[in-house]
Amino acid sequence: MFLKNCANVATRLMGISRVHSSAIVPSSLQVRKNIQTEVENQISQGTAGRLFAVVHIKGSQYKVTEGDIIVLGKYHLEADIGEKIRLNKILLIGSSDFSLVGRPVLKENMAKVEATVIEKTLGHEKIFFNYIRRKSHNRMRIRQEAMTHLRINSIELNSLE
Amino acid sequence: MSGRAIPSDFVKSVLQNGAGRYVCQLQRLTFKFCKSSGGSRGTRDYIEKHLIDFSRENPGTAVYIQPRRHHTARVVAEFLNGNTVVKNINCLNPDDIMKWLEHLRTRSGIEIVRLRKSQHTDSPSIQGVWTPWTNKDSSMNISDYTDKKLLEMKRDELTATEKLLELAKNLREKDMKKTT
Repeated sequence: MFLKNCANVATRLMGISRVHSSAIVPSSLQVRKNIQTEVENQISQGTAGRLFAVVHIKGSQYKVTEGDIIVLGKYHLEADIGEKIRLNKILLIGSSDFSLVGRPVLKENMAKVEATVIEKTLGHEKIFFNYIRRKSHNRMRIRQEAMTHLRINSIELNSLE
Repeated sequence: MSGRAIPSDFVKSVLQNGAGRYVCQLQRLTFKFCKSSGGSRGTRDYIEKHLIDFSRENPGTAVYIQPRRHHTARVVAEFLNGNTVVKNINCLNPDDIMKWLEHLRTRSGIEIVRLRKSQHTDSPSIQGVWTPWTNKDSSMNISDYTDKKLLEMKRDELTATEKLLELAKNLREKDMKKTT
């Protein structure tokens, strides 16, 4: 997973150009290893800084960071309000210096994203009105869709494997 | 009503609820109903059978019962952010009342309006906003833009013309070898 995305990491860490395809260096194994150790150091020393993640929840993808609120539309989660849940499908995780891209998701023990269900409410009243002229047909329906609000509590990056 | 006329707002939460611990936002529930009229029958049934359980399960919520002669049955919910929501439960059966109470319990008390964004964040970008110069070689900073190298088209593969020319060249070389 990691080596595949080395080019991306390399561009950030070493300022190597991505434009000139002939000039892309990270095809050499040594450069890749250097980048890997650099990222590993950042993770182990905790100097990676604020992380963001792209999580997959029920067909939608959300780019989240710690403290965010996301609104899941049209359904209520089974978890009660106040319950902490773990978002398992992490498609991507990134800091200011590197990004790790899953194929399609990161391994479970690599990273951990936790969220709290803070609200299970309804959306605003949507009006569905249809009308056929000269046919004395009109229908009005008012719908409120279910919504779940999640607070992202933590994004942890544990290791590269 | 057009979209512009519908009141709208961004995603909000009360006092960063859930960032540390979570506090249920429903503070007080007041049932107002009639002791005799038929419209309040479901409410009376609910109070008799289920209200004690609800109250036990939610110790943070105070529950009041106020009989009101010949009034429609309704429940008034007060939230920690100061908002009050009145829900008409006249002519509803206990199951429906339970459903609406569940809705009031899981709400934050913030007014329900059209949401302009389905996400709220305080740090919108961690890697910085992308520009055309993001991840480009720093030598570009001092390069002259009349430089012909920069104007060259960059591609990974050969074009069809180049492939053909190469084929022709190879064939020609083969022929040359044969003749010699």
